[in-house]
Amino acid sequence: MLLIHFLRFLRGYVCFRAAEGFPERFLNLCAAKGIAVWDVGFTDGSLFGCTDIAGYKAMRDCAKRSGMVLRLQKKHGLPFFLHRYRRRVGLLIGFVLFLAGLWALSGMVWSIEVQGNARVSTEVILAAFEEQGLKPGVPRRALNPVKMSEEAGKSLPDLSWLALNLRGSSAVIEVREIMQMEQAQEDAPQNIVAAKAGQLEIVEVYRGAALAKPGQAVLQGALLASGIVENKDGSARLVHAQAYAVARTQFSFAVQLPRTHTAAQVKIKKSHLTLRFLWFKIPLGKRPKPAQGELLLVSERVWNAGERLLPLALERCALLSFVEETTRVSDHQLRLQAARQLFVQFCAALSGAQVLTQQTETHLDSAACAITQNGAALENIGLAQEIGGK
Amino acid sequence: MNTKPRGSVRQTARQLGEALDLPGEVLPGFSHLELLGNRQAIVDGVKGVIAYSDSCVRLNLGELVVSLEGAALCIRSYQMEQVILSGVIAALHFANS
Repeated sequence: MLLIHFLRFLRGYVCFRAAEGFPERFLNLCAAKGIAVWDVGFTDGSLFGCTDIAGYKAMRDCAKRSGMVLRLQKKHGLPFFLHRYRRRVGLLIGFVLFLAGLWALSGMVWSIEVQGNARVSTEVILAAFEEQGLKPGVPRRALNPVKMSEEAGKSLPDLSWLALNLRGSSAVIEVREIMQMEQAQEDAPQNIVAAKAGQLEIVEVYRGAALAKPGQAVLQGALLASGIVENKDGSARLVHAQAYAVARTQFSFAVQLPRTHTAAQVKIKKSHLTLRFLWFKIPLGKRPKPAQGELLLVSERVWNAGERLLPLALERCALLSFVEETTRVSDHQLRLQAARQLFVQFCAALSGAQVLTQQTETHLDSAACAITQNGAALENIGLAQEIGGK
Repeated sequence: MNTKPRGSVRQTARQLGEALDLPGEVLPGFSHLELLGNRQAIVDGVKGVIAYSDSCVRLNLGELVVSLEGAALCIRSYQMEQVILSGVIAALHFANS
């Protein structure tokens, strides 16, 4: 029914009212002439209904023959609408321009999206495709996705697969990266040495000759498992020694931070906006030039409609200047900064270790804050060392 | 000149159609009437409107006259021997024309 209403709207139709005479004869004459009438009602002695434009003209004769007085009530549809605005040329030109713009823009690539990359940056992939001619604003029919993907793939060796898909006005580049497999050289002869000084608690040698026992104190660099194994006939062979050696070690960390420190503070000196539509760039003001010691930071914000990126973007250039400023921090801030640095050191040195005891001392005065931390921990001190290497 | 009466031609055609199991709508003399509850009636093979008001519509179907009675009756469409009637249909009567 909606389609019928739409078709009637396109063709245009009129509502009429016919009074007096013989309504039944009027309807029969209309049907005999093939005039389409609909929504026919009969109230207060008059007949009303709707018909198309040509039908209304032909209906006059039927009304005359049936003795009815025909009156036009209302005009509906596109032909009447266009007739009403026929002198407004601007509207027509605007509408034509709108249609032309819509047609032209629908055949172009508005935005380019890269999916599936982690190590290889989006900029690198976009640059490779730009060399093949893919950039916002290019006509879609000028693109050959298969050929472009093949050519771009040659300059991107870290990708195992890539494909360019055109979805409407968006170009989506789907990529898969090469899996980097670390090939452990398990055949290379090596020793296991102590990475730190400590007292051994657990020693498990899987391959090679054991040279240390639990309870033994070792210094840093001491040999725990040798990769040179003696055969029964007295000869020796080289093996890839493997061992698990846990020792009780001592640790000590210290951090000292001055209360005042000088750091470069970033200040936005001037900013400039540029409107980008496809490849057109409309500068909204004068673009600043960076002087000595200044930096130009360019950021772009692309407008979107839902998940779709529009071909409209606002580019912002900010001229950054760096001013060195000396700041003095409060006791609380100083203690927090020192504790944070100590924590970073602790995590880096004792990753995977079990802390047995620890003692922390904080010394805060008007000039600086010093934090020291001492303790003991159980950790794997076995370190592989290539025979003949360092 | 010996001509066959029109009624007997129609009857022969009807008998032939029934023998060939043809659907009733295509046979001469039959009209197709479809009711959607008591809200809408679609009548095919309408030869003319005999009476029309918002409470009663009488349609000429050739051999039959059908009367639809009710309230707020309205002809939604009338073209190509088809009438679509809407409103609250209360009664349906048939009579020979």
